[in-house]
Amino acid sequence: MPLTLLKDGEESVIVRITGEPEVRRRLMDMGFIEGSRLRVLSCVCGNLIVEAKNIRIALDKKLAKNIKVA
Amino acid sequence: MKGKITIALAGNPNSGKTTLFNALTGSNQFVGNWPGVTVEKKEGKIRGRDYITVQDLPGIYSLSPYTAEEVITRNYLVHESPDLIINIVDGSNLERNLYLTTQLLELNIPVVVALNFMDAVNKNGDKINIKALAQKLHCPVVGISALKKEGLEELIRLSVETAKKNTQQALFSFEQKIEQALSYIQNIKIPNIPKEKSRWYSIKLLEKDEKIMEELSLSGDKKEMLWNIIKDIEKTYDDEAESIITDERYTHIAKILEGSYKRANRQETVSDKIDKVLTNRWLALPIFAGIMTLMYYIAIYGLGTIVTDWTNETLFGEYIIANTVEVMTNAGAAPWLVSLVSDGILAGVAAPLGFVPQMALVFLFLALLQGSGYMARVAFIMDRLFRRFGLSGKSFLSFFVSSGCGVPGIMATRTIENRRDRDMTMITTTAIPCSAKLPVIAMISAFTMGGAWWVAPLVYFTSIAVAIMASVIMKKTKLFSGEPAPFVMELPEYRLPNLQGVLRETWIKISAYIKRAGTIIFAMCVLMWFLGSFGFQDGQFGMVESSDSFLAIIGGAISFIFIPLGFGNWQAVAATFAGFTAKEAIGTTMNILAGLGEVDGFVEGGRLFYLSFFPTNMVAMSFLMFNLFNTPCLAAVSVLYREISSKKLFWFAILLQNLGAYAISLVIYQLIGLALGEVGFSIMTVVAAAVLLLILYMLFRKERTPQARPALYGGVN
Repeated sequence: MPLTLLKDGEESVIVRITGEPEVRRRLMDMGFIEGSRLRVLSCVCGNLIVEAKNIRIALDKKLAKNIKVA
Repeated sequence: MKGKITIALAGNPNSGKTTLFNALTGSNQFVGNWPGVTVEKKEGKIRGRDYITVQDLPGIYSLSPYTAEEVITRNYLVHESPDLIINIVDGSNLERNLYLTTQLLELNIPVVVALNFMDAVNKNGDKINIKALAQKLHCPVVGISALKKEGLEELIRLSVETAKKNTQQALFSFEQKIEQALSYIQNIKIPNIPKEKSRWYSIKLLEKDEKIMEELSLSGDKKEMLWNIIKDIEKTYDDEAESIITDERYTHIAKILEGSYKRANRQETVSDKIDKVLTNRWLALPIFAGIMTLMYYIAIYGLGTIVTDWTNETLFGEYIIANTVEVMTNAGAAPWLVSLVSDGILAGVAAPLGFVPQMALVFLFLALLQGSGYMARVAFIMDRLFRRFGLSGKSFLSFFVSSGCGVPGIMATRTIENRRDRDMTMITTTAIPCSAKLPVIAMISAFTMGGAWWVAPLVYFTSIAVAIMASVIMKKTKLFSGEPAPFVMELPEYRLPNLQGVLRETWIKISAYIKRAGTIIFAMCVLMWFLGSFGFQDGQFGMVESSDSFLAIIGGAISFIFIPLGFGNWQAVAATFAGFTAKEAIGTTMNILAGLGEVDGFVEGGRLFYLSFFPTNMVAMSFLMFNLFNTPCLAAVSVLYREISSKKLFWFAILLQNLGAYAISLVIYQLIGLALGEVGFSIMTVVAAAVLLLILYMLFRKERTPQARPALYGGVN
């Protein structure tokens, strides 16, 4: 399911990263790796702040949908 | 005599790179003209070791650049081949930071890893075995604290030693199948790949790096061979090639960290707690609005005014100018020379200098917000709002910086990923009044509204609205249509800003401004004084009444263009033209033309003069609007020229800015003036109404459905 369905404070494992090659690349370079864990820190109207690889990253809603979690 | 060594500083954003750079080089650095949020290439020499040059580079997450500034870093590392890379690594985020390290180690340039924030690492209770780490990474590792200047000597010593090595072993071999694919790629024998970088290029090609493929301009058959290799490997792993490589890297990092790193359990950090408030869904916007208001209030009305008034009235007005005139007159200087020095140079240069304190405060606050880590949150908070207008939160960052100066504002667009959005932001960002426009705003508001405090905030909000509306209109054209780039940004830990760094940042910008006051403005003053004081009278060249001066003739010749805007007199036109060199020259030119010895932006004593320039308040407002929104100063224009995607777009930008400013002034002067009874009904009223309707139509017409991207962008972002 897309990352946007997680609630504040929930944790999960990244299953797949979809989207344009450039965007996928960027997400991976910033630490969104298939198989690794992430946690939603806060959700502001669909825009998210998540923690992945111990780093806080802000994402907009559309991009968050590209990250599929278990 | 030791040979010269060039060291490149590379690392993730927020890893403390700039702090390290400053700590290493001290004041011994050469800075490109205007560093902003996004730093230009900065060079410096290590303190006491002049043979070592350090190159600061924009932060990167990997050697696959995504934004324009990341391209700068990669190109430098790959093509300029420094003698050594100091890879600064955030010790409290080892795993993600080492991802870049694995790639730097493939460049075949000696690398030294500087583990930064060691104090924070120890405080968190994390354990890093530096020796083991160095062994596993095949390169020297030094624990440092850039902020506390710890470990720097050791870092320099090891760097000098390592730089002599000349080569660097790659960190690891990929899985055998991938290594095989890499050797196949090397066997294609692609021309233009430097031998010592062939491994790095092969990996990039396997990762389908578009920019590298473009750079190498592969021939058709070689391209096909490459694609076959890639397809094969993707089939074997049932995954995209770039994912395979990324996975391999992280797998290997995990191996490296095993036994050399132990991360302590984390409680909720201070940053998490602060974020709960500052990025709270209800509080975020009000808090930001509060901070912004406070910042401008202090800078412009509070502390700023006090210091600026003192500089203008007391220091220059009563002291320097009065005394200079006295001394020169007593010494028997020619009247024209006294006039040049007091009316031309001192009056002209003093006004922009008087605004230095206000400006310094704006820059200081921006540097504080940047240094504390709040700036990244601002982008995130504003992204929600800006996305509605088709802009990303990163555009707002540029707007925000532009309130200090448009030059770093334009440079800040480098973090915007999408080229169309970047160009669009560059075109609109200088509509936000920079600190050099403050004197003009102050002058007009003093003249029309008696200096009411709300004029400046109103002007700020109007200008943000104008910038947004211009963006909306542009977004609806074929050229700029399309969704803004997805927003993704790391939110660094909140940190107490490093005071020294913040002050340095502020000083760099202020000194550049002062230098400008001493050069461009100085020259402009002399020119304006000359053109405004000399001319031909009765066929004789000499000092004349200003109405007979060259400036009056030149300004008068073009002033008809501005008659519909209300200020079709040569003085206002001359001031506008002076504004193209530097916006602060607008006020100084007005004062020179008014023959005011006093240098403050506007003084009651000058009201009569001003009344001859601006017979009504509407004229003054129209003049202000035109000068706020037209083409920015020369410095900003030259950066725009350098940064914007194409020359065609550059001219488009210039045209748009000036036509837009003209349209806004026209509508305001003609229509509001008519409503207030200051302006009569004429053919221009109809024109203004038509322009207003056209603007509204362009603003509210239906969005174009995104089509194939126009050729200007060559089909890519």
